[in-house]
Amino acid sequence: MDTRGRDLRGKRAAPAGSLVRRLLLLAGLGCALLLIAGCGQSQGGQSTLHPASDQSRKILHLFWGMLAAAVVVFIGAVVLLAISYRRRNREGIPLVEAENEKAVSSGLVVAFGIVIPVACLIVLFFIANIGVVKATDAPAPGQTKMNVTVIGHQWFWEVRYPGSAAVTANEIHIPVKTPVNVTLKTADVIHSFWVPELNKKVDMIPGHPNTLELYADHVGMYRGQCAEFCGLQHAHMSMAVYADPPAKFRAWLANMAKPVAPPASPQAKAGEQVFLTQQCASCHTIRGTSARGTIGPDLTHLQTRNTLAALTIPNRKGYLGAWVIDPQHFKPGNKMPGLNLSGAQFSNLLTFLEGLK
Amino acid sequence: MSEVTRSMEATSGAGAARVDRRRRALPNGVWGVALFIATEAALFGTLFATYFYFRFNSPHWPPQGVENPKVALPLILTAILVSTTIPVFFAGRAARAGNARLAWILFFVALLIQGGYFGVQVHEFLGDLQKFPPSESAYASIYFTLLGAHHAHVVVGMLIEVWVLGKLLGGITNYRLIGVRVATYYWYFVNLLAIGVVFTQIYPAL
Amino acid sequence: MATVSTPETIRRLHRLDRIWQERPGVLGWLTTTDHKRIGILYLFTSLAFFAAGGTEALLVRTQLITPNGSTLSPAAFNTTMTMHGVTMIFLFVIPISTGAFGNYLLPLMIGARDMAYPRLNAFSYWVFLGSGLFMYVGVATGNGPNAGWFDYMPLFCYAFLAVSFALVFALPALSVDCLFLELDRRLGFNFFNVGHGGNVLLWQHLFWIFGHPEVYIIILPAFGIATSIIPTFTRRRMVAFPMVALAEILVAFIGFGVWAHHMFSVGLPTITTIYFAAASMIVVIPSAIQLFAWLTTLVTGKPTFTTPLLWIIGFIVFFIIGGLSGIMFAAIPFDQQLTDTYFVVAHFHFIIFGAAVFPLLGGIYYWFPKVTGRMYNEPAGQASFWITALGSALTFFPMHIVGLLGMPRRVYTYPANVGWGPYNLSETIGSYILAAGLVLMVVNLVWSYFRGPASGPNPFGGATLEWSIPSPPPEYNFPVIPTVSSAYPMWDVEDREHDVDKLNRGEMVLDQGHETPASTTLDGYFDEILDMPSNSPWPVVTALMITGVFAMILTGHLVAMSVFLGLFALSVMGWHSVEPREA
Repeated sequence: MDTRGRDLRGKRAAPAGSLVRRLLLLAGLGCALLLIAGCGQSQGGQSTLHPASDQSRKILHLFWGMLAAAVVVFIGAVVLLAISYRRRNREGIPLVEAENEKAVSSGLVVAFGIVIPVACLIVLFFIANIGVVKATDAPAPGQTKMNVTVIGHQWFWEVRYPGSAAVTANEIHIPVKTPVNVTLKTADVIHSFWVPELNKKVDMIPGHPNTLELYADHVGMYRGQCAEFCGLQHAHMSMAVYADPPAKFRAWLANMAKPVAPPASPQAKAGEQVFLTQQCASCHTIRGTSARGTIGPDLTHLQTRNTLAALTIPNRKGYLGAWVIDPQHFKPGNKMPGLNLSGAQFSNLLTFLEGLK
Repeated sequence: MSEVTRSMEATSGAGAARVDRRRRALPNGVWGVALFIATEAALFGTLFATYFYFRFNSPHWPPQGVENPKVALPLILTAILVSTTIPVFFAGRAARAGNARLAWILFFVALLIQGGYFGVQVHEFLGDLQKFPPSESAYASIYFTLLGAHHAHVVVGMLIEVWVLGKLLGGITNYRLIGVRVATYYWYFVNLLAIGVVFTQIYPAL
Repeated sequence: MATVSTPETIRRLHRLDRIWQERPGVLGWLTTTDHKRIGILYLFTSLAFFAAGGTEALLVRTQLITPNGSTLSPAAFNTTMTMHGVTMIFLFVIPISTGAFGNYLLPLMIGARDMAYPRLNAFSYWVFLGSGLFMYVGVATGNGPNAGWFDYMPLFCYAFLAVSFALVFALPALSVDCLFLELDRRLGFNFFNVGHGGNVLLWQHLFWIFGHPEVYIIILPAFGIATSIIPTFTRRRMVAFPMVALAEILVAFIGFGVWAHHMFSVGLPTITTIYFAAASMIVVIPSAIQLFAWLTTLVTGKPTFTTPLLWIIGFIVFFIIGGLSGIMFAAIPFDQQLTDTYFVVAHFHFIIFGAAVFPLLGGIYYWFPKVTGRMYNEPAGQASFWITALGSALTFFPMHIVGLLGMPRRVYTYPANVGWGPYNLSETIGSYILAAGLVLMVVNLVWSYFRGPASGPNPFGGATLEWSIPSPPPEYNFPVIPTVSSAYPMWDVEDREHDVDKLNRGEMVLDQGHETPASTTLDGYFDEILDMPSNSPWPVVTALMITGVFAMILTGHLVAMSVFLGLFALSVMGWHSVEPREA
């Protein structure tokens, strides 16, 4: 063996001195961060840590259980590393172990590498993949009274209520404490429907409708987002699920099913003409008018929605105007072109759009 | 050259066949063709899996408007192709026994039969392409990809044979013997594949 | 080789030098078939790609530093993100592990003078270089198993054996997948077109049939490097050697049965998902065996915490975290909740960066003296480890949390009101710290290459055969084919003395030509001497032609494609026109 190399090895070690402490620090820091995250409050967020349904809660409990086991394993491994660090100055060179030591160390590997992991995995398998899986599975067709169909588009969500004429986009209303069976389809590429506080995610596959149960155990807004990369504006394909008291929901649905009332003012009437004669009507539907486009979202009751462009901007007058003038500013690459409107046309159009209640 | 290396070499030269075969290393050429066949088998496995994946996800197979495949002609053609295993096998034996002339003739016979097979298959392939183009259905897409892939393998096999025929004109060396072995193994594989491919091809009509 | 002195011995060494001498200059590198030179070509090429992929990562992180960031346009972000993934996996991790480490070290560890198919090996490098998209075909054929000293291979070699088999069987699925895609796009086929009976899930199935074994292709070389470094720096043999060897092979096979666990959210039947979840759990066991074998070896040895071992310690810590979060994904409902979020991004960066790349970086430090003959600077080496590890933790750990908070992957921006900002800020800061650590490593190695002290043949007291020869190794690797009777040949002092005797007596020197020994397949006895091809222009020419063929197909120039195809056939004939010297 080369003695020179030994000298080189001899003068190391000082910077490695705090190895164990640093590792422990790192682990501690990580856990602390996680705890902070777990305790923080979120309103209208899309955190898996704030479940609002039995399904999401079961998944979260599963996670906490797995995390606890994982922390035990991690601490065990760090303790072993710490022991090995203490042994750096031990006497002698172990090169070959004695036969009895060999049996002990192989036994340890069998115990910790095979026996204990197998036992833990079997437990996990039954809890997660036999138990929780059932709770999050979609109900059989016809099991629920409420049905909703959600169709993914690049880059918005079309929402239909079977048995009703209601069509809307991006904002899904459901009655609270009522299981809702959601049928998931897509009009173009693969999307993934995910409202983490209510349930797991399910993909929208061309030619292969999937189903998912939505249930919310208290009134509120639950944010969701497309979870499968679907092109340029994947990042701006969000949705909101509103769980309403049943009476409020019924009123909302009845209003949504109605066609829009005729424009009240002359400006609004002129705005409707702008909508129908410019390019708007070739992409958007407004029930009650001759606009029957299907490329963009249904705008019949636009003013009942809180946001525009799949939760990209708030649905307020200034934003609506800015959106119509330059849709590519907020959501570059979306399919809506900017229109070349005169000042009067523009203000009439806005008046008309603001009347879509 | 030292005594030890010399004695080792005695086992690797022309007298190789007399050494206990179980103790011999496989030549690198044979390892190479074995690996190559393994990847090709995995490739065709994927094609077969795709075919049946489509099959079991489709209500009609073949899709409406496409007639069932012929049964008799593909089976006869495949039987003819598979029968070339015999001349190829004996060509390999002849080469090992040092009979370059016989090996050459047998390979040539195999090549002629395979060439005929390929000609008829290309004719059929082009005819089918007119009837149900792959731009119209997933069935046609996998049908032509599977058959096309196999035909391509037949072409490669024939090219290898042409190369072996050229080499054998100059007599037999250890290196060429390995080349012959590689060519025979490759043809066993292509012929075996032909059986799988033809039964997949005619499957809707069975 | 302490006592090489007789005039006859010196003449033998000179003869070997002359026979194995490489051509000088650029032409020498273009026509080389020396596994060490090919390994170095792979190393520098893949490190260049690593720099490119790293720059792309920094761009992505810069865009995401705050909500509604505007560093990159959505189109630029999506391109950069995709390039980052493709570059890191296909142009960095695989080529550097199998191409650079496998090529350079495997023959040195088993006492051979070259790889089994030297020209194919060179060809595969040139194809990799010439065409990023089709490089993987070349890697699959470049590293076939060779009839080496199978019985006595170090664990490093078992890991690479498993990788080679996995590559052979996994890549065809990806090739077919890409073929289907190309046929769909170019010739109007309907593999993925739902309107004509195609199926988009077919793409996902085929991709993941390749993709999951691919994960083990990435991780196994890292395991191999870990099992090389740990015994050296703990001064003891690996605990449970047979179990670790078996686990390395097993993991490559079981990896083929788990692909659909990447597809739990596409709406597969529940019973299918349960089967794949169970299979995915089984794959945990071989990893657990290896992990505890490493830990037990560390505990029962006398570890020296210098740079290479530090990277391995970092690897173990990151692998445990990434492995534990991986097990969580075998719980189907949890997978369905967290897949395609930053939690998954965290998981696979702990695995791919922490567990696969850390050992590669440790391995670069470990074998740097062997390749260059110089020692790196130890304090700077340790500092580069700590900075990189700290940066990695800051970058990748918060991704778990932001994933739990609902942030999906592959978004070019995110809103301000969902609480993801602070974590993304930490990730971006961490990524720059990480990059600083890597820059320090590069500076250290470049400086040491020119100014570092001479290392001698075995600076760390390593146990495997590469440490028995001078640093850098001579072109013929071993002056005498070594006697091996365990997986730690350098610790078998008698064997090494026996080698010197053999050299002095002229036994097993193989100095009559470009020769290497072959052994019987299963019991590893010496069988015959093979005449190996030396410098050849055909690999690079053939690679150029096949790259031309694929480039022309992809760009739709079918006439030019046919010309390249003809030239390709001609160069294959040229390749085989020279027959080896007969015994």
